[in-house]
Amino acid sequence: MKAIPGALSAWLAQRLSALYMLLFMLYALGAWLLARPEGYGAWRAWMLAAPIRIPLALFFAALLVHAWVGLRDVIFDYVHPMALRLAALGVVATALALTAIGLAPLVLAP
Amino acid sequence: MAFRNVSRRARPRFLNLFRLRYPVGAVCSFAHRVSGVVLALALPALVWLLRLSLDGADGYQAALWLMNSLPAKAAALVFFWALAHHVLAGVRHLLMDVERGSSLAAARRSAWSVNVLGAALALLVLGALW
Repeated sequence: MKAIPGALSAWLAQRLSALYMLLFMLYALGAWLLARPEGYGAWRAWMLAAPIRIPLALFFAALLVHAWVGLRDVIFDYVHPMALRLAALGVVATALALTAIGLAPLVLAP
Repeated sequence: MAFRNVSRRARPRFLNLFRLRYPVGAVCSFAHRVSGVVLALALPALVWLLRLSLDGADGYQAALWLMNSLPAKAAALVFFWALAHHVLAGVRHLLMDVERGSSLAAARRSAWSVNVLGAALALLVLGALW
């Protein structure tokens, strides 16, 4: 059996992104329980507050990395013919890239 | 390694799913994988919903209205189960990486806890939201 190139860094990326997301979600849950934003203005201010902007961007980045590594592993395990595997990886990469494009305006919003 | 000499064709295979046994750790682990795929599939819809909710007061109302529909509640139940199970099973994995709870007895206990707590949290969140 040959090792997959980059397997160790993927393993590490999966764990680091998991840890970051865990901490961020605990913080977000706590903040939400303390002061539940009611109405559009409060919701927008809560989601897009200046101090949370960079941690939020990092959360989205961690989410995309984590989803990529996880789905990649699932595809490696179950999709064996090389052409099919590359096609599946291509579909996942495209979907995640579109998701990133969808998230970008939230991070860059004025 | 010894199995280097065994040709690909001669490797034993035992993939009759009904003859495999599923100890609680296997259920926890497989559900971790299934819940991960569910979360990934939900991601585009959630990003769309988040964008809608931040796109003016009308968008916010539309997002709220959508979330109160019956299909959305059913989807939310599946989503919150997937989130709860995936996070709990993930924490279990991380603890095992640092050698916490990796004995067989402890691993079986934590697998039971994760499976039950994941489902319980999903119901709790659903109850709290509606």
